[in-house]
Amino acid sequence: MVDIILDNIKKSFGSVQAVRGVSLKVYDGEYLTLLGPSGCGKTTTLRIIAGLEKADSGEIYFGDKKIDFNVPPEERNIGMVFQHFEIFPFLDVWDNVSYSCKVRGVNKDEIEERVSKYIHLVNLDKYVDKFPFELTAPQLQRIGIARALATGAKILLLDEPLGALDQRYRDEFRVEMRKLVKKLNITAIHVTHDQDEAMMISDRIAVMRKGSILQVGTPGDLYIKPNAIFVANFIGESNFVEGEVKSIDKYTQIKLHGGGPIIFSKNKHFYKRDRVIGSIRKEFVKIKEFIEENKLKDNNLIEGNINNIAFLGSHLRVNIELENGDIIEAKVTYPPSIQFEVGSKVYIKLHPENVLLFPYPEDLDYELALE
Amino acid sequence: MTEIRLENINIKDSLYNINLQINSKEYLTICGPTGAGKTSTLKIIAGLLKPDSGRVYFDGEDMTDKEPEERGIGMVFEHSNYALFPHLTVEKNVGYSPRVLEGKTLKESRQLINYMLELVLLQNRPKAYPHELSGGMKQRVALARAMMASSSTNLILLDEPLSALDAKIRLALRYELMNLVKKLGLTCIHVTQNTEEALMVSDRIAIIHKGQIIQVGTPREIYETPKNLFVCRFISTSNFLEGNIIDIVEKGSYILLSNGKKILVSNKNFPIGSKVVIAIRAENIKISRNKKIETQNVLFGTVETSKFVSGNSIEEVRLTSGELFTLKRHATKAWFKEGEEVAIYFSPDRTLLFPYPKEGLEKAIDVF
Amino acid sequence: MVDLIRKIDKSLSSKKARIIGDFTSLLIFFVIIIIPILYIFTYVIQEWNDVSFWIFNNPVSGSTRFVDMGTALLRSLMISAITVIIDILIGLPMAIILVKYDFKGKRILDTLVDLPMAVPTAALGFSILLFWGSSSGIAWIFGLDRGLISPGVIMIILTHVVFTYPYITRNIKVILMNQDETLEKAAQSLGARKFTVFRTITAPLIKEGLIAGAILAFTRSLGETGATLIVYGVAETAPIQIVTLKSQALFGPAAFLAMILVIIAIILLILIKTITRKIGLPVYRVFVRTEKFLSKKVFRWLRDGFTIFFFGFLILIPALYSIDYLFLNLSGPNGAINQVFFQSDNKWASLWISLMNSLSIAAVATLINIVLGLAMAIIVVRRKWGKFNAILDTLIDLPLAIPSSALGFSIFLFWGTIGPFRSIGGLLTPGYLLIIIVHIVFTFPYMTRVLIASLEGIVSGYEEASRTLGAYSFTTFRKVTIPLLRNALLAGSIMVFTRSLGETGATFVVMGLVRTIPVTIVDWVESIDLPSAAFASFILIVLSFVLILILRHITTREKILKIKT
Repeated sequence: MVDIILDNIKKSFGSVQAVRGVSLKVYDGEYLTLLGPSGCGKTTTLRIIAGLEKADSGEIYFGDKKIDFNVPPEERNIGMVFQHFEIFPFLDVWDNVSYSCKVRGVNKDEIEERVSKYIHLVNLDKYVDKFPFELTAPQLQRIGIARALATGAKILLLDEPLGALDQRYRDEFRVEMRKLVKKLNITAIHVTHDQDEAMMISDRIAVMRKGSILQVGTPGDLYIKPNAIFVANFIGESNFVEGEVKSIDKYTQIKLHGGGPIIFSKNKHFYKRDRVIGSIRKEFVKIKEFIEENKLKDNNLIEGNINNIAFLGSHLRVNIELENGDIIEAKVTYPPSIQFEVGSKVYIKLHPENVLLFPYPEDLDYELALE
Repeated sequence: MTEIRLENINIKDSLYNINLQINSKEYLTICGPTGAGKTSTLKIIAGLLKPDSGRVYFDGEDMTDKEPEERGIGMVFEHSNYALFPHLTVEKNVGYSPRVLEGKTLKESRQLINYMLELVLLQNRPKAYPHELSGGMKQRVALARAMMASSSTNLILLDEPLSALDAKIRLALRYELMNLVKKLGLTCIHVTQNTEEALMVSDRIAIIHKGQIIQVGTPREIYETPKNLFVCRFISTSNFLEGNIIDIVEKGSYILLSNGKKILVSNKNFPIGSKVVIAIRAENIKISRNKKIETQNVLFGTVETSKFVSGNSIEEVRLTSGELFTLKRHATKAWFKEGEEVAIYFSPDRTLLFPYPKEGLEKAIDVF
Repeated sequence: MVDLIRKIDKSLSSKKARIIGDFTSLLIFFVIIIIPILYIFTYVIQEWNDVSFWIFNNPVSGSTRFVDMGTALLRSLMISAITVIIDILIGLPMAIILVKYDFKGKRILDTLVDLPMAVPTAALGFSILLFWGSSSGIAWIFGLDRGLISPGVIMIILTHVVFTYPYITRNIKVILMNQDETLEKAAQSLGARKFTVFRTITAPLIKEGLIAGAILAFTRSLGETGATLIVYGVAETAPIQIVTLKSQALFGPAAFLAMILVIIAIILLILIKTITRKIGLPVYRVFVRTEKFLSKKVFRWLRDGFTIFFFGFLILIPALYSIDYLFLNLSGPNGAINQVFFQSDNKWASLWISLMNSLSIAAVATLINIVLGLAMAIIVVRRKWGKFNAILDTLIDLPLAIPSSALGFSIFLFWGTIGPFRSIGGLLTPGYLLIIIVHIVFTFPYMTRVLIASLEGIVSGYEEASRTLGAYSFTTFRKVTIPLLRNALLAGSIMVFTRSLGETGATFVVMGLVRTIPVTIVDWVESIDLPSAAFASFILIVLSFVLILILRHITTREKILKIKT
């Protein structure tokens, strides 16, 4: 059992509170990602787990064992992968991977067996006697992974492991890394700012901002049920509209600001006249032809004008301006089922279950900021 | 108002016979994998790199031998914080170009700087130093600085302007960039290896590979009628099947795969007997658990991975014939489990047909 | 065996071991290096009566000695100032030529630029004396029968330029090499012409390095003794006066003058640390027309031409002239071979002994500095003690800034019969041991600086990686830090070794009856046995040159260890 439990971890650097009370349980064998923009405290949290930083307060457990903050990293039995690889430049591939066994005094036969196993797992058999300066960035990170795994640790910590790699290698790595971790049945905590990477690789994601965890859940949960404007904005792509609750019956009706149209939401946790922010995923915005017949069939249609269409191959990004000047963006599969162009008048349909509501925040710009 | 023309540009071992025209007020993207020669092409336009042969024209005037400072361009650099001057504040960076003062009073140029800062939403930070800004802000300062310097030509050159930013910010800045360029009527040449970015921001895209321009066209042209297998694979994830044309009917051509399966494609341009490659984009393949499905072009396989990523479901399916196919659809969750046996199918008119490449399929679609 | 090593590593990794280690290193640092240098202050205060008697109120001479001292001091300051200006005029363009252009023979020029550093100062002074001052040097070219310049202020300046300009060139070279070229390209694309780019972008970015280099060059010139002893004629500089006073056993006045030099050095050192960052250059205005004119190619050619001409004529040839002289005067009854090997006074024997002395002293100083420098570098870079760290960082440079004769004198006072150990008759008297101590002190910054720079350059990530892989912190130090520092250690050692080999001023003060090779050269010059002096110089130059070549080889190899990420 190597569940990892963090309980109310806090850490400040001078006057900057990097981690403000993080509590988290990572289950045995789970692949969990800490996701957030730069400076959100995700790396500090990971380093606290590794023992590379000492938390100011809080508790850490590996399984049932409480880990004192003073236990140095070398006694925590973890494997760590670094953003900039940190492959020892003066050692060849074999010596890098066998480093942990050697410093721990593992006997020769076992070193031989373990190291060749992990070098093989990351497909570096051909490069055992190469030195780091002869290798490419992706190969270096492969060494990094093999080196961390060769510790035999059941916990693998990954600090932006793909951050220094070209886009084109990342996809490949994501899939491979997840497979590797699952195959070896270890617990992995992965830090990244890339939401796609997080969704691709994780069992669960913890979204962090300004030193706190906002939400923990599966990629699907976070996508369907974000619990904060920031999460809705950071995971996937959403439109945000501002309005006031008009009435509540079967659905909550929201009158958009500036004399805008009324939209419907299934969320019923608000009262009449509450100011709210509605959030709608861009791929949930449906475009319908602007014909009488449509309006008769369905009263939940909003009028708008198309003011931009961007072609992205697999889909179109269509910007629709509403009567109050709000712009709603729709991601439409290409080729679209109906014809439209810039300047066309269209209806858009927002399904009530896809319209999420949040209380109007004190500082909207802050909630919507991504940095 | 500047029209750029590159004529037969060559640089030993890196660029071969580059011919390219960029129209006034056009947004053109030079797109290709790392090392293809994108940045070199841009530097030749800027004058930071001299070609071994060939000419560069701005509005018909030969600029080949002009120094970069005489070309009146604005450029945004990729590396090391967009080459913002670390010892100068935001406003001094933006107003650095000696051209800013040309023919203006100090007060006028001040106003211009302030106007530019407003455009890039930095009017509140004129006295900040680059190191005090976030990544997105630095990018905007670099853009403002380039625009200030290019007032005579309205030509700005962008070298991977968004690649150093977090994924989410990149998207937001794409919009800002497009809007600014259109609003100010700039001519813009943008270098990137990110195909989604290229498709989204450009009027036209020039695909460059191994020092040669392969295809120039609008995003739609590039996506729908890629000139060769490389462009097809590079612009969007695609799957490939090899076969021979065995029959041509009214609806299209029949192709026999090596495993005996027949595939129908709409394209009728290849004669019977020719060896061809069929390309099907990831987003054009449908998937079903129903293995008895009655439709054209059905293939069978096993789901190897199934992931949900931001509104898309992405599956990798290992076909019974051994190929690994990638599928991508708008969805709200991952619908398939690893190990499930499925049928996949695609419409004959959502396929592309290419002659079998001389260098072999694998080499032709190696886009890295 | 493995278990035993692991156990030792573990105990050495404990907090207790670290504290003991830090404490010992700091103790040695202060007792051996810092306190003896600063002892001079205590001494002057203690002996104030003596000092004021000799300097201000001597019944016979009144305050003439004070006037003499003031004159020497002013002369020193003036010489240093002019030297630094010439250094910048030659050193700065040279750095630009070496970094910014690619041309055939660049590597050769690069080596030639470093070459004068291989010439120990005493040999250097001698060589310059021969070139400018003898009938066989420059005078021979013009067909004159005596030297063009006689020993004095001008010759001192010509000498000082040779060993101080590397402070400018090397400093700027390193900065320019690490500077991102994109910045300059960006400025160019924004419409700035070459000269404007230099003034508004390059210059502000090298400013700090230039000022720091200039101040170091200034202090080095202010304190130099060895070469100056040979070329000063009657124009006594302050360090020369210290040597003279000390040899007359006028310890009080010598200490007073040394103290003033130390104070000037400390002030300059503090200036480097505090002010350099704040000095601004006007950047915003652009003088389009003037700068367009100045950006013309012809100015660049002129600059490059003049730089290379002056470098060759003022620095390279004079510095190495003694070699030519030696070969001209090798044989014959007055030739070097006859003088050194076949005379009754057996110069070869004393040359051999002094060579062995020099080598062994340099070796011991190097070894001790490896250990002490490593310990101090780690303390400065890795311990987070706030202000105290910043103070330590400044103190490390102290021996570098203090004139070597003042430094030697202060250390001589501290350990000797009139220092704090006077009750037991002093711990050390001038001689072999004291020379070693002095050499440890003034070479200490060379080793430690290199190690600090290298240690800061090592991403601490390597060490963190090692610890997550299960290595104790001492194991990490042994298996990761030391290998990463290997090149820096070698480079530092060679710097220390060559500096020690060539040092004259401080050695003069503390040598007693022991002779090192540079001192021998000075002796022979003073007894006007020039061929023998040239012979000894030659040996010293060749030794140092070989070491410098090795140093260059290492620093170019260093790049291989850097991985591209």
